[in-house]
Amino acid sequence: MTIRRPFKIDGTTGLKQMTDGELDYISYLTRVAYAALSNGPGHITINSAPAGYSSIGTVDDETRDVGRSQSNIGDVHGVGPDNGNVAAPGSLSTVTYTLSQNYNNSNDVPSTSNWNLGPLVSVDASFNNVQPLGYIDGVQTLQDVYDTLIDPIVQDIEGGGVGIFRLATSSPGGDWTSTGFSMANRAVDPNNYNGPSTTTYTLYKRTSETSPSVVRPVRKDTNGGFKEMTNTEITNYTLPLLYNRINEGNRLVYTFGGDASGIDAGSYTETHHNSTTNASASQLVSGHTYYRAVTGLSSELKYLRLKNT
Amino acid sequence: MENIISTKTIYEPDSAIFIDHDKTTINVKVKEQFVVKDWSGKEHPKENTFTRTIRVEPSDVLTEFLSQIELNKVDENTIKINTMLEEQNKILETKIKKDILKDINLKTEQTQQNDNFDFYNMKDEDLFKLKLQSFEIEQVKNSTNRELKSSLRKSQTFMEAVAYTAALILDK
Repeated sequence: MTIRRPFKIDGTTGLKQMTDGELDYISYLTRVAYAALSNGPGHITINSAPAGYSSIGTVDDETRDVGRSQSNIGDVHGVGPDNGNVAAPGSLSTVTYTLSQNYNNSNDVPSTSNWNLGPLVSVDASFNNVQPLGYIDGVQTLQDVYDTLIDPIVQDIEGGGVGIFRLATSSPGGDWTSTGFSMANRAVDPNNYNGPSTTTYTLYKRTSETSPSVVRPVRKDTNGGFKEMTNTEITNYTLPLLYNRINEGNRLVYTFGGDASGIDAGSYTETHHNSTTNASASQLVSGHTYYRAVTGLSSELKYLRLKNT
Repeated sequence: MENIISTKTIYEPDSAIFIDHDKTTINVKVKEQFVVKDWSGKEHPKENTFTRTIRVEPSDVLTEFLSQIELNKVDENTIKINTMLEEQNKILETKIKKDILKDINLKTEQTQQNDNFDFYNMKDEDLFKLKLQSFEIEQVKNSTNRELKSSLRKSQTFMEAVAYTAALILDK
């Protein structure tokens, strides 16, 4: 593992190596750009899976139209009501939700020009050899960039910072944006004749947080000398490497299922009734009207989890 | 690795309904059509179909949905489907009533048939059953009066059979 600290311009004193804290701004810029993407690499969707997306788990939302129904079966002295002559409460419907993750762009690296304009680092301890990070002598050394910049960015997302996703019934806060992808748990009540009530779970992503102090690295200037990188130059350099790290490095990988291990990214509870009551004399409403209701409530908890690296 | 060339999302207008009373959540059928290019440059059209749940709150997905379907249309569909469900329930209830009525009529007919017993026009089969019952009575079975027994066997009416049965019982 080689962490090579990029140089920054330190006022009038010249070039100085950036500290861990000063690298936070690169992480912040990268994550804000990453989270601002619409369905970008590594992003999660619900019931949307174009090419390059992979399922990370599914669940069925099952319900009946109503929780209870009643039928007037007429004057049938001597004929006891049974399932055949008291209607079941509505019919059954199921919606399958599949959560998918975008694994496109997993081989991305910066373009040659962006490599050359990467943050400058010292290749040796005596500062005699200054070159772009991850592109020493024109050869890609991805691990150096992962160790120095990308894995700390992943750690910041895993810590709940900008870029993390969350499945919740309401927005986790002002820093979060709805992806627009939702899933519902419809549930009927055996004690009333209404249709299902709905609990909607929406996939949110964190898109904002307080900016750390602005400290930018320097790069080679093609016109000679050194120059502070712009925000766009920083993200042009880091984003492709973050995409690369998601799949290839098994980072920022989400799962959706019964296993609660990993970093908490929300959950979904599906409830449904397994059957309906057999109509009987005890279910007489009045006169010759009997009811039937759903019965056998069961629930299933599904966790959205982010792999802890 | 495949390259996506284009993606098109098509929402089916007639399938969009509100699934909650507050009209904040929509279920709608959606087709995702996309073309991918393989390593040799060959293009492959592909399609996914889902039921998508969309919450009515600002998002890219809602914006995309509203560019194709108005909320009024969702409202119309919801009313239509609820009315349809009510009608289906009514039809089911009518069918159940009809089946039960049929059942009741059948039973009533059978009961009526049993109730229409005519003493003066007794069927041979019923008369035979009546005579069998008589001969099961201990005093009749053990009687040595052959003449009365023969008369019971030969009786042609309900009254004759009952009268000879009584005579055999009283005959000591």
